[in-house]
Amino acid sequence: MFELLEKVMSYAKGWTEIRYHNKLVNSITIKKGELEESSSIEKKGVGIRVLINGTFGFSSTSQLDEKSLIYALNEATVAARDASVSKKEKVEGLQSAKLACGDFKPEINDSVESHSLEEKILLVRTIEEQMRKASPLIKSAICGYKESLDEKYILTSDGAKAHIIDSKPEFRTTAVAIKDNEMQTGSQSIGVTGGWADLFRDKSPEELADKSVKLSIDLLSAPYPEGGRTQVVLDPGIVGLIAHEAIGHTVEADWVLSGSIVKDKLGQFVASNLITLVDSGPSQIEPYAGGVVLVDDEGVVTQRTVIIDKGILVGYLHNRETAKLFGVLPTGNARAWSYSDEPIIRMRNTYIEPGDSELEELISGVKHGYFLKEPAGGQADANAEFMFGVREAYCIENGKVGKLVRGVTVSGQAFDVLKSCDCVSKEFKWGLGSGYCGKTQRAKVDAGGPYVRCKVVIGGKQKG
Amino acid sequence: MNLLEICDTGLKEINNLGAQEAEIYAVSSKNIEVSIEKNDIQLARSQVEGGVGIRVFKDQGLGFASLSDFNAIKQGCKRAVELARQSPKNQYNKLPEPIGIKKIPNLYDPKSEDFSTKLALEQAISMLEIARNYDPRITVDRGMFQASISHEAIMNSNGIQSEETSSFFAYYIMGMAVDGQKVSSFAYEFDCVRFMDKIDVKRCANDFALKVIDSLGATKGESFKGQVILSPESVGSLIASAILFSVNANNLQKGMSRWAGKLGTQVTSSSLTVEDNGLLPGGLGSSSFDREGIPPSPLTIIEEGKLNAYMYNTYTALKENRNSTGHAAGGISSVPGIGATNFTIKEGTSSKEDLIKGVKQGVLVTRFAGFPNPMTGEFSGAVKGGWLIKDGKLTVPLCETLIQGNIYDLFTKISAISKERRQVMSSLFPWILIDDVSVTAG
Repeated sequence: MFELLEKVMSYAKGWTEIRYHNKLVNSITIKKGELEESSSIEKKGVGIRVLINGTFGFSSTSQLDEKSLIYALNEATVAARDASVSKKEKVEGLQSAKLACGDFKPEINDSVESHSLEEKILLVRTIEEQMRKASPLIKSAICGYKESLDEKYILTSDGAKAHIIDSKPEFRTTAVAIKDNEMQTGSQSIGVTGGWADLFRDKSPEELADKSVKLSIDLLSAPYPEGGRTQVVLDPGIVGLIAHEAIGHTVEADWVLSGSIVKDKLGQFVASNLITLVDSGPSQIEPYAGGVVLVDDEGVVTQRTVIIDKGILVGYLHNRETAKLFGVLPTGNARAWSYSDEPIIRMRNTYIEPGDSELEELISGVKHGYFLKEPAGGQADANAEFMFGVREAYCIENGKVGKLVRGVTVSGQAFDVLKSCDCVSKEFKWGLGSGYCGKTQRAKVDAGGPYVRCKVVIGGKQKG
Repeated sequence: MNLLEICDTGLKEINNLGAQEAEIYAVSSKNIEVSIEKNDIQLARSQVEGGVGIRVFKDQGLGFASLSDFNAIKQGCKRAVELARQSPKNQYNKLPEPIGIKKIPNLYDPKSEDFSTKLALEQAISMLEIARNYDPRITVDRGMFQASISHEAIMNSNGIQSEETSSFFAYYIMGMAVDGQKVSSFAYEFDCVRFMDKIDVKRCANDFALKVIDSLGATKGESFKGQVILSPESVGSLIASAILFSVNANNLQKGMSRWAGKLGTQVTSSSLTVEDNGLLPGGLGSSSFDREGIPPSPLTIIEEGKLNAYMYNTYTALKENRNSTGHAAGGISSVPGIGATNFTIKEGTSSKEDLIKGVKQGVLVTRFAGFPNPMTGEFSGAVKGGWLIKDGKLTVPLCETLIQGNIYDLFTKISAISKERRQVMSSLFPWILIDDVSVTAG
C-alpha cells in the first residue's frame, strides 16, 4: 500500500497528507427475540489533504487505483487554491512533531476475529432471552454486539509513514419493564480497545443483563428528584462525561481560537486544586480504554496531555496547525472518522486523576444530595455550560445512600462545578468505553476518573 | 458510473451464490463543501462519495453488507450471503414486489451540476460577513456551506428497479457573542434548499446574529411550574421525536411504543394534527421511492388528537399482513429501518405573539438540549437561548435553566398552537404552548 501512496505523493505540490483507511464494522442486534441486524459495513478508501497558499484543501476516493488517487489529489489542490483567495489568515505552516514511522497496534488479548459469527449471534441471543425471561414485568429487550476493526496507512510529505491496526468491540443490553401504564428502561454498555477477553474483563454479559433488568424494574416505582442546586457524588462514568463534554471541548484549540471560555486562562486556577484533568492517546492508570489512539491522523505519535494540573489550566488539545499558532508541541489530537473525513481536533481518553479518599468518605459527607451513576449522553457549549442525563441516581440523606430516583438531568457551568469539588476518591475506572463523540464527524472516545464530590444543578419536579 | 448496472452485477452474483432474495441499494454523490472556523474559511473540499448496501435472505435468514468500493461488489455479496447463511430463520424476511412509481418533480436542480468550489466559497463568505458585520461582539465558531448532487438506485430480485437524482444546498452558522464578562448563549441557524435560486444565507446569518445578541446577559431565572412555549426547533427535538418513535411499527411490534393498540383513540390534545407526505413536489424529505423501492403513502398520523396511522416498512407490514406505507428509511450502511419523509404539524389559530401575551409566568424555549427517552416519555434537559416570560412579555434571556416532565403527559396539556410555522430540515413545525411544565433555575 505504501508503494501506491508514495507514487501519488510524488505528484504532490505543497504539504500533503495521504491516508488509506479501511474501517470494518460488524454488528449483531437482537430485539425481542428477532435478529434485526447481522451486518458487515466496510468503508475503505483514501483521503488526501493538501496545504497550499496557507489554505487546506481536501478530497477522497474509494477507488484505489493510481489514476483515481491522482484525480483526488488534484481536486484537493484546486479546492485549496480556490479557497486561498478568500482566506484571511493563512496557515503559516504546521508544527514539527514526533512523526510516526513503523507499525502500531494496541494490546489485544483474544482477538475478536478468532470468535466465530455463530458464537457471537448465540451470545447476543442468549443474553437478550435472559433479560426477557428474568421477570414477567420485562416485556421487551435489546442486546447488541459491535466490533470496529480499523487499518490505516498514513503518509505525509514531511516524513510520517505509519501502519496502524485497531480493534474496538462493544456490547449493550437494554431491558424494557412495563407495569400498569408505566414503562421504564434499564441499559448497560461496555466498550474497549482490545480483544474479546478485554471486553468482558470487568463485567460478564450476564451481569450486564441482570443489571439492566433490575434497573428497569426498580425505576417503575422510583419517584422524581427534587430540582435545584445540590451536593452530589459522581461515579467515574459521570466524572468522565464532565471531563469530556464540559471541559474537554472548551480546551480543543480550535474552540479556544474561536473564543471559548478558557481563552486567555492558561496559568489560572479554573478548578479545585484536587483536580488534575488529562486527555491521553494511550490508556493510562487502567488498561483497554475505549478511545485509544496511538498515532493520530496527521501521523503524530500521541501522548498523555495534561489540561488542568492541580486546578491550574496548563494546556490545550492541538493539531499541528494550532500547535504552531500557540508555539507548543502537537498533542496528537487530530482525528478523522473515516477516509472521507479530514482530521479535526478531537479528544481520546479524557479523565480526572484519582485522589486519596475512600468512596465511603465522599458519601458520608453529604447531608442531603444525590449519588449519580451511569451517564446517558450529554452535550456542552463553548461557554462550558453542560447538560447530561443520568441512568441511575440515588438520594443521599445524612451520609447514607437511599432510594432510586428517575429521569435525572444534571446541568451547570463545568468550571464552577470543578471548583466546587471537595473530595476525590482513590478508586479509578474508565466509564465511557461504548461512547461516541459528535463534532461534525463521529469519534470513538472514552472517559473516566475517580468518584468526585461536588455541586451541580439537578432538573426535577417543581410543585405546581 | 451506472448505478443500476452495479446493482445488476450484485443481484446476479447473489443468485449464483444460492440466496433466494436480494436487494441492492447504490448511492453516489458529488459534494462540494466549504467550512468556516474561527471567523475564517477553514477548508474547501470536493469529493465523490458513495457505495452499496446489500441485503440478502437465504433460507429466510438475514445478511447485510455495505461497502464504499463499487469494484468490490462481488466480495460484498459473498459476505452478505455468508452472514445470511448463519442467521436464524424468520418467515417475515421477504422483499417487496414492484409497485408503480411516479416521479416527484423538483427534487433536482440541473444548474447544480455547474456549482463550483468558487460559488460555495462566495456563499460561505457572504454568510460569515453578514453575521460578523451585524455586531462586532459576534464570533462565528463554525459554519458550513455544502452543495450536493446525489444519485441513488435500487434493484431487488422481485423486479423492483428504480433510480433518482436529487440536489440540495445546506448551510449552517454557529457561535456566540461576547461583551466583556457577558457571554451569550451558544446558538446556531441552518437551512437546506433543493434549488440554487432558493439559497438565502443572508436570512440564516441575520437570524443567527439576532439570536446571540439578544441572549447576551442571560440570567439564571427562577424555578416554578408553569407554561412553556416550544419553538419549532424544540418541537422537533421533544414532541416530534416522541411521535415518530411511537408510530414506528417496529417499536410497536417490539413492545417499545406507548401507542400500541391505540389507533382511533385520543392520544394528544385535540389541537394537534400531524401528517407525513413523502410525495410533496420539491420537498426536502420527498423521494419517488423509499429505501426498499416503494413509493411513500401520505399519512395523517394524528387527526385532531386521535391516533390515525402507523408507519410501516415491508418487514413490519408482513407481520400484520398488510402493505408497507413506504416508510422504509436509511442509507447504504444499514438494513432498512422506518422513518418519516416530510413530517408536519398543522398550524393553529393564534399568532406567536398571542401565545406569548397569554402567558403569566413561563419560558420560551428556543432550543432544547437533552435526551428525551421516547419510550418512557421522560425528558429533562437544558433550555438554550431561552427567555423568561412574565405577564405576557419576554423579559430576560435565560441560562442554566432546565425543564422536566413526561412528553406523553405534555401531549394532553397542549393549550395553543401558532399560525406561523418554520421549516426544520424536512419538517414543518409551529410554536406550541404547553401547560404545567417544571422549570428549574440553576
